[in-house]
Amino acid sequence: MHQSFVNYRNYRYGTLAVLVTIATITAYMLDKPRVPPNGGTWLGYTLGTIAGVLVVFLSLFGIRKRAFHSRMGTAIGWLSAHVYLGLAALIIATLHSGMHFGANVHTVTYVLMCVVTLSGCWGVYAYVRYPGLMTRQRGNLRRKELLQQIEELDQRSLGMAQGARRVEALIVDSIRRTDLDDPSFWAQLRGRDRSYIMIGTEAAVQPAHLVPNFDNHALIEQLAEMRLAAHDETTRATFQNLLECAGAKAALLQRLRRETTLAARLRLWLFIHVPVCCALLAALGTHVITVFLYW
Amino acid sequence: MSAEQFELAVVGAGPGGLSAAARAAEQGMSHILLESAAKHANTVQQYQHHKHVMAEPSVLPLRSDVAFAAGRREEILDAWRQAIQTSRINIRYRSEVTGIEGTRGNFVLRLKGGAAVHARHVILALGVQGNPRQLSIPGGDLPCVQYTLESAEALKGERIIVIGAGDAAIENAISLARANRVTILNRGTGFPRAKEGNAGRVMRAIAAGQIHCVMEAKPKSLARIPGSAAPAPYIIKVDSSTGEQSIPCHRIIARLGAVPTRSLLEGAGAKFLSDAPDAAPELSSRYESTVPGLYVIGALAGFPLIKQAMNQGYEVVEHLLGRVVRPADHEILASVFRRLRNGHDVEGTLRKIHGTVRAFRGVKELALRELMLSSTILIPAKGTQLFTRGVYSSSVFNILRGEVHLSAGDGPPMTLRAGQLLGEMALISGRPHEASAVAGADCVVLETPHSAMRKLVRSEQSVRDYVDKVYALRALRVFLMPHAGPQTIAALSEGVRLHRIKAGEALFKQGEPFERFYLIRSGSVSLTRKTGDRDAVIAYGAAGAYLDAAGCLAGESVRSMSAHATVTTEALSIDQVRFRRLLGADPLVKAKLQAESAQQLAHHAHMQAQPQAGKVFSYLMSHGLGEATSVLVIDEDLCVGCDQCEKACAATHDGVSRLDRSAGPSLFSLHLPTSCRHCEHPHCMQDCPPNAIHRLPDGEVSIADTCIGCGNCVENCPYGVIQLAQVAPKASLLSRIGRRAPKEVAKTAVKCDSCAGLKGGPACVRACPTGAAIRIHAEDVLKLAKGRAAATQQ
Amino acid sequence: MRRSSVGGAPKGAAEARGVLIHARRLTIGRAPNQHLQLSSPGVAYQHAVVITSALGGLRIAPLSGKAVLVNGRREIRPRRINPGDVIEIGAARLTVHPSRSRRAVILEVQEPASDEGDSGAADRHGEASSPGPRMSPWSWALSLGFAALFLLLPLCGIVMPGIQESLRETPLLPSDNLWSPGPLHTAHQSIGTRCDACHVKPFEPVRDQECFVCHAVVAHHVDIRSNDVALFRGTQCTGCHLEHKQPAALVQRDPRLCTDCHADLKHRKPDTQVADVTDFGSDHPEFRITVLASTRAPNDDLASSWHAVRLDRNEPEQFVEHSHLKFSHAQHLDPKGVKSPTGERVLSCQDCHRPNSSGREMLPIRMETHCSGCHSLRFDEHDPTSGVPHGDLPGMYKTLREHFSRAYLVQTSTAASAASGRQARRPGNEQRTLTDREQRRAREWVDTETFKIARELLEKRVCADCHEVTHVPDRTGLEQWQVQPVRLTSTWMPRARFDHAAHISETCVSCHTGAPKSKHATDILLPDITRCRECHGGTGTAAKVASDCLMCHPFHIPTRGPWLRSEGISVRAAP
Repeated sequence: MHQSFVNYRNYRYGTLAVLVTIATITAYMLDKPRVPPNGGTWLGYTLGTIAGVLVVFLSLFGIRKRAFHSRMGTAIGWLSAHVYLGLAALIIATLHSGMHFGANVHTVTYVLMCVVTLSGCWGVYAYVRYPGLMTRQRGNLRRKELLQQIEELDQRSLGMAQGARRVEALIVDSIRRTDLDDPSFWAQLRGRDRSYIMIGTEAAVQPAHLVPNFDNHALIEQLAEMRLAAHDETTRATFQNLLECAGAKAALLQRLRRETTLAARLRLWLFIHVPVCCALLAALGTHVITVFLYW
Repeated sequence: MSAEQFELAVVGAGPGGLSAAARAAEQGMSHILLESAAKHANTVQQYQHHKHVMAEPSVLPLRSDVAFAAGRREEILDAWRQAIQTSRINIRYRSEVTGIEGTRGNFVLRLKGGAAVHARHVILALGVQGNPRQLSIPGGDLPCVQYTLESAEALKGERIIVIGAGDAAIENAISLARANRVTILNRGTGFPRAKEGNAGRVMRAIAAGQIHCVMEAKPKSLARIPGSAAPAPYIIKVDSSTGEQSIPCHRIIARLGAVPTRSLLEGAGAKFLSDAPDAAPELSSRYESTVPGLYVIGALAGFPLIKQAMNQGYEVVEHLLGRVVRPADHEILASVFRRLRNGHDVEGTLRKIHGTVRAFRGVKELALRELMLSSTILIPAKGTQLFTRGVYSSSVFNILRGEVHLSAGDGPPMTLRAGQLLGEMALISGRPHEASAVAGADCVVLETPHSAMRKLVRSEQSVRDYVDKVYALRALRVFLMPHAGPQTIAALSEGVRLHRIKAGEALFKQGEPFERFYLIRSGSVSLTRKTGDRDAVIAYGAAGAYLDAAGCLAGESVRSMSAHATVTTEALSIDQVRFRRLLGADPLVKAKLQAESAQQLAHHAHMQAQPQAGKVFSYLMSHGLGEATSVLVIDEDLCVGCDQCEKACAATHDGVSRLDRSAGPSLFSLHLPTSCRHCEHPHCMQDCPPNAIHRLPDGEVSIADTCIGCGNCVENCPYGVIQLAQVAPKASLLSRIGRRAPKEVAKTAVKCDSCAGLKGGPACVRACPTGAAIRIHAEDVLKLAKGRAAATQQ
Repeated sequence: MRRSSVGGAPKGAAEARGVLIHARRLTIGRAPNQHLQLSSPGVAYQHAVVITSALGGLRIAPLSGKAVLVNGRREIRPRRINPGDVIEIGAARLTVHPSRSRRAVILEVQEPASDEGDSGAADRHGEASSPGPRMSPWSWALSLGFAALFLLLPLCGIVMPGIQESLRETPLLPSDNLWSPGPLHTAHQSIGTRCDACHVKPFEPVRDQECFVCHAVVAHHVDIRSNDVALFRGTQCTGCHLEHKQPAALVQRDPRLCTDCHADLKHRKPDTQVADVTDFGSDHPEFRITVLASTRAPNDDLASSWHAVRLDRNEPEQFVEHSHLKFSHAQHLDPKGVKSPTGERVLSCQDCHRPNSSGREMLPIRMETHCSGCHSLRFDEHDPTSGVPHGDLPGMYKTLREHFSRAYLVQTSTAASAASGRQARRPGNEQRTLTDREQRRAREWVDTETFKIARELLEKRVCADCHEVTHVPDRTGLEQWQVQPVRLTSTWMPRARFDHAAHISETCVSCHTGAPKSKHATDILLPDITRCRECHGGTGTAAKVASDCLMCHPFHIPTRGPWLRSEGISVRAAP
């Protein structure tokens, strides 16, 4: 019952795009212009117009996507068309250029178009591949639940650490400095763990210093040491439990980070696609204007 | 002490009472207005702050000396306070009436504290809320004790004790628990008096530790702790199952229920229509109870809306002054009946309808009038379709004249004559019509919305019986034996029994003796078979399905499967022996059954083969797909989390999204976000004072603008898909850019309406760029899930 | 190592929990990697650092743009902190306490017990796909930036000519040169970066005037005095000459540029002499050879005027050249050789036909250079001095007379000495003049001799070898002979260009096949089209040399006058 934008209406727009492409290519083959093929021949103008109209139409998707009242087709239909016609547009534009490139605004426009299209392809790949991955790795545990579980673990370990000042300080610090979601997108993307922990918070023992606490490792080491140092049975047991909590939290943190990373990857391409697309529109305008300004 | 004598005593200074007293004052009638609380309009006082109060029904003109128009709670209360001051109303606060004796001319109203008031006439405008039971323990009068909660938002970081286990207590506790440490003192062990939804919510909250609950708790004493060292200024001693304990607290909210006003009425000797808790007292067209001179108006009389109550107060006083006053709804009814052009006046027509329509035999005039208010009279041309098979409608029809042809399934069409009821199946099952009704020659029908009809059915035993009977007859015919003659069916229907079971309860269990043959009337059941140690779901029966036909045909003596209700379910049953006799007699029915049972068996085997599917199945059922008609399903393998669906929903619904994508259950990468499923029997419809919730022809359950934001539906929805929200003025693309803050507007209930009116289907689905979101019927969801399960199994 | 220490009081807890931190720079902020992590509202991720100043003592340095209040005063640059100071960062208060070391500081941290944590948790609960970098700023920046760089700035150059130059000259500045779709042809390099040299009016194709500014005297395709000029109204230079296109070719060689008209010229110009043509290989008329023909003016018998006639190969009797010369290629190219003063000599084409310096055309044939080697003009074999001038009949007669007069005188003197042999010779005897009688006899003798020899030369020998000599009717004596004037055709195909140099790899006879056998000077030895087509095909042919129109035919024909007469001047005048 579900239908992906790839095989929407069993490849309606895919077929359309292929047909358009074939048509234009044959036209290009058959055409025998008096001058070597370029954007200035009548075919060149035709192809240019088609490609330009396509580009504008493709960028309209950005608007249609937000025009929720619009009854002009469905968003999925638009996306499907967007993907396939986008590919066609690049081919048509290539024909339009007549393979003439140089250090000028026209070539820049073409390059921008390539960038947009390629990033789009990347996006298609991401959209097809990552959601499945995320679902698999997430199991049925959503992000919210993950965070809840982490907080529960924190509460539990705090509860256990209560009383023992040094341990409590350690746990509190580790929790405070645990980096659950780095605000910066790039950090999310790299799935970097910016967690730290202040070791040796007991002024008497040794001066405190910050150490990275990737996946709770530093904390776990500390706890392990403490457990070894512990004398009586009960404290040892407490530390054992604390260790288990820390381990469990580490596992959750890893999952959380993986999900964050995937989610970031899922959107990364957009940060190229959309801005460059806007640039492309400007470039397209410039291209058309200048071509006729200096006819 | 000498008791004063008044011409009129009005009990309860709510809108109705105020209106009556004001009229009396205006007309220089000696009167007294008795209010138990310290303020007027107790119920309205307890509305949440700034709540926008509606003036429904808008068609009804206001007849009162007290001003009232839709507006903020504060404005309205203020207007009334001024009315009390300006018009010389003789009002007496903090005087609760504990008993009423006597009859017309000499009533004695006993007040709390021994005083008494004599009056020739009495108007009871008490409302249904009644007077809150006081906390009768030492220190119960300390300022920290309150019986109402005006706004939960105002309180933060306090230790609050909520006493009681009713809906009010639960709702307060839950709303407070967000920002406070709440303890519930529950006299019992569970929450039997609460609505299902509320009970579930509070149980979850307690399990999650958000709310602390003391069971079998009996408050002993309350005291103030000197000094500020303690975490809270007060401490309450409580006897509980775990012995006595004392809990520090900042404030106590006592929700001990109310002294039911009904008891007061019955004490006075008035009769009620039925024993149902929400049944109305027996009243004349002048709102006079069975006790002459004792008038009942407003919510207590079964008219929950403010305007109605005020009009009635006015009318009663006018009546007492000996003036002929037509009820306010007279004009409306006249306009309703105008189409009949049968010469009769309103009363005459009412009497005529009363006489003709069998469903309305034994319905009191007032109830009928109210029904008529929301009904319409149709004079369809010959051949026009009243309703079509497979289409949702939210009204039933009573034939006033002529005949209607009902063609259901493959049977010959039935012909229904004047007085008969139409569309009762849809009314009961909450599903699309099973039959198509075509108007015959010069026929006149009365169309009544489901909501009004259900209310009637609930309050009037006679109506309930009639509807059940009709349903049984028609259902047998439609689902079982389309070809059988009326006598056979009539004979069969004699032995029909009606079963009503809650979700999870069993209709029958595997291993029981096979005694009766069941036909689902509403709701749905899942059939399970125990193989080895586990229960495998083998089928699912929705309204109109009959269970275990194969077993019945085979004449099994013992059940080979169990049937459990997935939601509240009603089923008809026929005695097995009797039914087999019928089968013997009627080869057609036998053939029909055989054919279908063959299919069922195959299906059962298939289901049993894949336990996964069974799991999915019961999982979905546990999430209420049993009663869903249209479900939003997100394929997580396609969803990229762009939240376009939510944005679209917000954009198409005044900036408030009615769906929460990330919330809700998911399995086999199928995700059911919290969004309305448009249940067969929408829980939200159950008590909606202004009847604002309707089912549209395509099945969407939607809330009309007449919503007064009371929040009942929010509480009633088990799936938490309704929210109270300030619906901002239309959020256009432009305003989306130029973020203008919406001006203060009333909170009203909002929920998914499947974008009814928006062409091309739900916006969320249309806006999903990857095709992850689709809205499909519950059965399709099951199919889909089964497919996924099978896929994952391999 | 320097050390700065922090004593912190965690919120809520009554007793202070000491934390000792070693660091050169004590970082303060809400990020987890800060030494002193403050979770109060208004604290940035990295907010400030405490550094030990060179002068000793400690300073607090707010990071750029972050506000730090020391004793209520907002500090932007590092400020020394002394015991007792109160530092406010966001909602957090740090109180500085005296410490023993000058390089240590004790800070008491007071954070408001806010529900920051909860709200933090709350926004943590947001979906993973929460904001990320916002795109719209980038989008705007990129698109506007692009427009500014590639459109607006160059436009400024156009609107304000003042800055145009600097824009174009300065390397990294954008100018309208960015709009050039392709390089200029080398011939136009001189235009350089001045787009407006040709693109004068915006949104209008380049007009001819711009070309004429330089190319004022381009020859027309048709005679500018004829009405045919009308046929070319609307024809633009840019029709054939496209710039900025790759491969850079100034002249478009596409045959259609010609055949558009020449495929069916009749219907444009009914009175045309030019045959229709579409393709050299398949559809090109046979060459028509242009030769000079003489017509004698009736009144003056010697003078004769020459005019060009185009000969059609298909009428053999007309297809001859009348150059009034007698010449046999066959005889001269006789492989056995021809006799010459130096004996038998074998001649080759190159002995007479020499290419000019460009190598394209052949130099004209001259008697003096090419023929006289063998063909001496001596009337007396034995007397080397007896030569007559060429191409000058009266001169020849004069020479003869002088010759014979001298001969007579010599003869008589020898005869007299023989007669008076007895008497001794006395000086001065020769000087004696002739008597009248002797003179008359002498004149007669000379005349007869001269006439005799002249007749011999003009009718039998030397002149008659190569020239057509005719008798003028009713004339006698020396006047009776006349040598027909000779005019050799230099360009046989004036409408086409043939480049001998380009065909250097060929032998002469491979094209001029008739030469070795041609016995008469009237033979036209030019190859016909089939001969050319052996190697040359039409455009688009692969097997042969693809030959478009312009290979042989120029469009601008020099003899037709300038494309524009007056306009040229007007354009020059125009800016």
